[in-house]
Amino acid sequence: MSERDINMNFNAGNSSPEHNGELDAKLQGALGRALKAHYDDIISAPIPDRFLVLLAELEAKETRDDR
Amino acid sequence: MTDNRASNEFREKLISEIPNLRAFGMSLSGSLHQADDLVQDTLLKAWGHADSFTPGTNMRAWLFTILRNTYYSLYRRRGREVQDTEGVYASKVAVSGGQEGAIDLADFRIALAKLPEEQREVLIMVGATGLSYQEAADICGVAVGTIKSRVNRARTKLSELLGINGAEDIGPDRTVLAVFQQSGQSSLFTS
Repeated sequence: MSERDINMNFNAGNSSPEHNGELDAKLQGALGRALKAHYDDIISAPIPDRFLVLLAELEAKETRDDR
Repeated sequence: MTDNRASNEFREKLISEIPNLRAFGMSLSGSLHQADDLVQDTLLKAWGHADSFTPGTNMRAWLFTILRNTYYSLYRRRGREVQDTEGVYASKVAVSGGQEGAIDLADFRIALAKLPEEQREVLIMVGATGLSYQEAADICGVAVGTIKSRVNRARTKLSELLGINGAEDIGPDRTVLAVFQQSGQSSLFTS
């Protein structure tokens, strides 16, 4: 279910706060978005140089050993 | 036999998976500094075991398995670092509480840090890195039902920690959350 579906279901549905389905969908959406926001900082960050350097070194070593 | 180490595609795929690896490492160790050490070790091992990866299969799942095994066998014994809930996160996202209709991000991070690792790691796998329940189950070496129950327990625990008891505790929804531009990823708790 996409986030948009969850939002649409919520807006169109039962307005009673005791309706578990509503809370569930809303909670799912809110927690899911918070989780993505939390990790988005890392996932969208540029790749640290240390990893690129590591892989370049590993590749260079591989090439040398093959020759 | 394909020589992955000589393959540009293999190397480029490794590089493209690094952000997700860092995120997964974070979910386990709680510290970005330690997560990056963990990613470094993972890349070394992946390179060393490159021949065990079949091109065309799920590299993310393969790498996550290596990282997870490395964490539980090596890092966890060293003792957990203090959960880094604030320092690293210069959050550009001001997901404020009441009016915005979402959960306050700072509160969320604090609550997330209090979850047991086995719950936090499945949350990131299923909710943020696009892995399926089955893939998460394979990575953790458990049944799919176990993953689902961990996600459910995590959700319940987060709700408790965040003080969410009823729909009124979460403000009105808004769809204008432009920061959430990750397309193609399933909602965390879809089952």
